[in-house]
Amino acid sequence: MENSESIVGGGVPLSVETAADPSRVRMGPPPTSAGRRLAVHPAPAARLLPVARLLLVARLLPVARLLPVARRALVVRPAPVVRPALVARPALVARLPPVARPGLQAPPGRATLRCGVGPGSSAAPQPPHAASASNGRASSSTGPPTGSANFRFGSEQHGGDGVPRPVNDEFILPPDDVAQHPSLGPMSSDPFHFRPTIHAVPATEALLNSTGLTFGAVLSPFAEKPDEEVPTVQQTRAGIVRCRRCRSYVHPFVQWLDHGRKWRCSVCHLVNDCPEAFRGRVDERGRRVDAAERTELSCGSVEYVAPKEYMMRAPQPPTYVFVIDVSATSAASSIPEVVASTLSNSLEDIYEDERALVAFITYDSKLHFYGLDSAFMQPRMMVVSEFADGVELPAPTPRMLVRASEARENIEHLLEGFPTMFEDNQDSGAALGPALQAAFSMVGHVGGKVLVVAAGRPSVGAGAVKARDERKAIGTAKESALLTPADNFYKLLAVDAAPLHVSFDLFMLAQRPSELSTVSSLSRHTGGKVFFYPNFSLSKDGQRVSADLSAMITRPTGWEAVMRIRCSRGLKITGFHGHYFARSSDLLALPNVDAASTFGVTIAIEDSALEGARSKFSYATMQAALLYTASNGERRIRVHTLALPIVAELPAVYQAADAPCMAALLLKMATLKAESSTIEDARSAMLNKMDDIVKSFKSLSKSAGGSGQLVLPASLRLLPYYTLAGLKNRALRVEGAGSVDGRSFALTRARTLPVHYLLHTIAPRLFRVQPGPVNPQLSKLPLTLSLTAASLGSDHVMLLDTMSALWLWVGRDTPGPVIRAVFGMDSLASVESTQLRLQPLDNDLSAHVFAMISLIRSQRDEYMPVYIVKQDGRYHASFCSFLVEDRSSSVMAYPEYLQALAKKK
Amino acid sequence: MEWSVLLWILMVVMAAVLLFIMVFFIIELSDLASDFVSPVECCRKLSPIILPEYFAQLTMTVLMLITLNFTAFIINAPLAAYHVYSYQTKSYWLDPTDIFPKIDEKRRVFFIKLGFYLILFFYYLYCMIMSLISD
Ligand SMILES: [Zn+2]
Repeated sequence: MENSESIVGGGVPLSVETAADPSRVRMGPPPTSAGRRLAVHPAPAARLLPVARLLLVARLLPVARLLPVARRALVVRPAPVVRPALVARPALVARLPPVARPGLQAPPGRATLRCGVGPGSSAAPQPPHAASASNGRASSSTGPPTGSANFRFGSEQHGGDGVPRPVNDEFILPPDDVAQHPSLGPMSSDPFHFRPTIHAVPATEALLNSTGLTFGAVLSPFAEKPDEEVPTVQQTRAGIVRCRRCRSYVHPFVQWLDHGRKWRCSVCHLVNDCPEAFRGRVDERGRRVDAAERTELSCGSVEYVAPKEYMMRAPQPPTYVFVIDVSATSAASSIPEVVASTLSNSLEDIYEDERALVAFITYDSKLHFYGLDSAFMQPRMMVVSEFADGVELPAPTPRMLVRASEARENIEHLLEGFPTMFEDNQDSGAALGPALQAAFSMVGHVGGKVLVVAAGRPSVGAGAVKARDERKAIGTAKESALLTPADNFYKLLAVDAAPLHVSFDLFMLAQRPSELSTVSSLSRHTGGKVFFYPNFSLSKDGQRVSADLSAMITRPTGWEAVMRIRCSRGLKITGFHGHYFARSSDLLALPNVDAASTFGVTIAIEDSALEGARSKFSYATMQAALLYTASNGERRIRVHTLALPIVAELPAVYQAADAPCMAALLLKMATLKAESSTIEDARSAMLNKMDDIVKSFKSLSKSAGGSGQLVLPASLRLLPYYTLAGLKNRALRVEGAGSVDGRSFALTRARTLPVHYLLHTIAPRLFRVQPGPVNPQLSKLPLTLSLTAASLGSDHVMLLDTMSALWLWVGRDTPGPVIRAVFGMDSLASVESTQLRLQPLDNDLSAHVFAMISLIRSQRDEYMPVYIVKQDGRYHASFCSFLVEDRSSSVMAYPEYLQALAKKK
Repeated sequence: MEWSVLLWILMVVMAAVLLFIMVFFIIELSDLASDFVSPVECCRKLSPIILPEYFAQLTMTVLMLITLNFTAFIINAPLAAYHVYSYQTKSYWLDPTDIFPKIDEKRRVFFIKLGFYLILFFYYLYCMIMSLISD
């Protein structure tokens, strides 16, 4: 059958020109590329034999013995503490050059994606066919050193116990030398978009299994990399060049044959004829000489403007339907007011867009529709209270789904009246199900985004759910049953909506248990987002709701999107994690996609196919193609191609491992287990995985490590840390689990967040504000501290960044002048911490605190409220639950855990 | 005896129908695995047949018990127990959002059931012939 995006996006398959023409020969100077990556030269010390590099390990002396020694060393001598790891390999850690990260150094202006082809670049591609058989060896002997540069031991700033911890890294990217194999270079997709858990493909399943590692990838196809844009391919007469059989897009890693007249697809290995307009000279190494001039031959991530064939219908206009709960519960907590004021501000952009469509539905135990037709002077409200046998929309005039630009006055009028209209609403029913059905039938023919603001559990009509008793189930094996939907109504609605490009974003502003696990399946199967505000109150959450809602309206969105991931022979996708609807085994329907949309992919290795593939290619490719409609109506295809060398030797597998990405994928996999089995099973799966990895490495490297030493490849040093942090996260922890809704939301977050978001959520960043240097013009965040109670002094002021909020922690003995400078009062003793507000004051310390807060906020696209916690106050315990390195009643402390791992046989 | 012949004929027909249902299920799942049908379509086709299949098999089991055909009852019992369990836990429901990871598992179950119905079919056929002869 026709295996292409045209299944959805266009009916006409592309044909590849078959006429054989003399190839045009391009002459000229060797191409250079302005945007190419800085070369990273491994230090001489790093060029060790593979075996020696395998032994580059994180050694840990028994921590009990080490701790007092380290402390004493710090107190007695100001000299740097001698760390076991440094003793083991002083040269390596000490002499590694700083790794250049062009993307993160924020050059002025927007550069295009790194395109590194040409002489002088470290990324000169190897001729694909020349490197085939010996690649395993080649990559392990000439490959980059293990990424110890990025896994720095932070002993000085971390209390001197020599335990590996993440440093203050905004994006937690893999080290460049791990992420970008020298033979492939930056032509492969960026970890920002497409990040594998191992930056190489083990040649056999047995090889992978012997390491205990998990192979897969985390993919954010629409992510926006700071200061970089995905380059757009210049159209030629050749059109979009794709493989005739598997329909994959031409990319930098295809093989050029027959002097450029033919190319071999790296996914299915078919030899395709090259369209005449796309031909170019091929040098003796099999490379296209003109690669640098052709974006699609030099960049791993490119974008095409799709021609007519990719459209089954006219591109969809941006369409928003607001479904708002206005029941008594909702009105009592001023939800209509918050929503109306947010919309009045954030619809500004939408009024500008001539194509954008908008509709409003409100509900209590009845449905209210609003005729906003510009032909009428005023918005008209229509009430529907009969929906026992399905919802029927009121008469077609006045129209309810209107062009925002034309009906602006009516919309503004409606929003103005909104807060007062339902002020005294006594109706406490919530007919969410019928409201959603109505919204779906309103936009089903267009597609679009349904933004649902609910104030609690649906209780009337189709989709009403009874509250399930959760008191006895929390923290037990029965909790998982409550995490699965009580009613399939929402799932089935989602299944109907996803193919018609309708997605649901859910804002649950709940004061009571709200059956989030049932209702959120709406978003889960339509590529939507879930926002949850437990114990909603206007003062606590108003600003955040407003910011989140407005972000969902204004952020760049890809409409009616579908994504297909094609893997080269020998790799098979076994599962997806995230919010999507799978329309076939490799095609995901994502009615809406935005920068935060993230998918975990698990991949299996099929030995015989991969063996066959190695005879033609020394690397395996994965290509994710996202077909979407931009808000301006342009149909576009974003193609991310990831090429990974196929390696046959263990050291090469280990050194390419990407611990942060693997931790994120393992956590995503655990969320599935938490729902389908039990929380306990999900926890033990994480722990067992870590045990396996440690045991495998121990048995593979027999010489390294005796008793009491944890031996791990340098690349995996942080995996135990993230495993432990994951177990202590709200999603998987046993004690203090809170409500089922809270758990369900935490699982949703774990399933949908990008790697660095997720890891910063489970292991927040802790900064010390005071005592310390005060700099009102702070431009760089200070170093993070270890997440343990020992980092908190009773006279300290600390700042914790948990991704969704900032916690300002104030010790009980904080000096008066500090309190006065930050809070403007003499003492906090008499004030409840919920009453405290942080106001900018006219002094350096206050400016310093605000500079830190705005620096952190600038790194996030979610609004982060600031919570103030007093050491003796009631939120101190919640604050302490973020200190993941400390012991909890069910999980060991981090040093203990490392010790326990070291003892595993 | 007239009625026992009728009973066995009914049983043979039922087993044959169940056999065909299993073959249909397996073909549909293979189509799904090779992307010939969409998951929604596949679930829409299969879902209405699952419970009737369970019901037919349970009827067979009960009929065997009340007609005191203990051998046939014992052959039927394990599958009947599985069907009751799967009905109670609602695991029979084909979830279009979660069918891809489960294709192999479901297909294995259907193959086992196919073998099972095949055995039943031949056993019923044997019983039918025996009762015809004794008639
Ligand atoms: Zn192909």
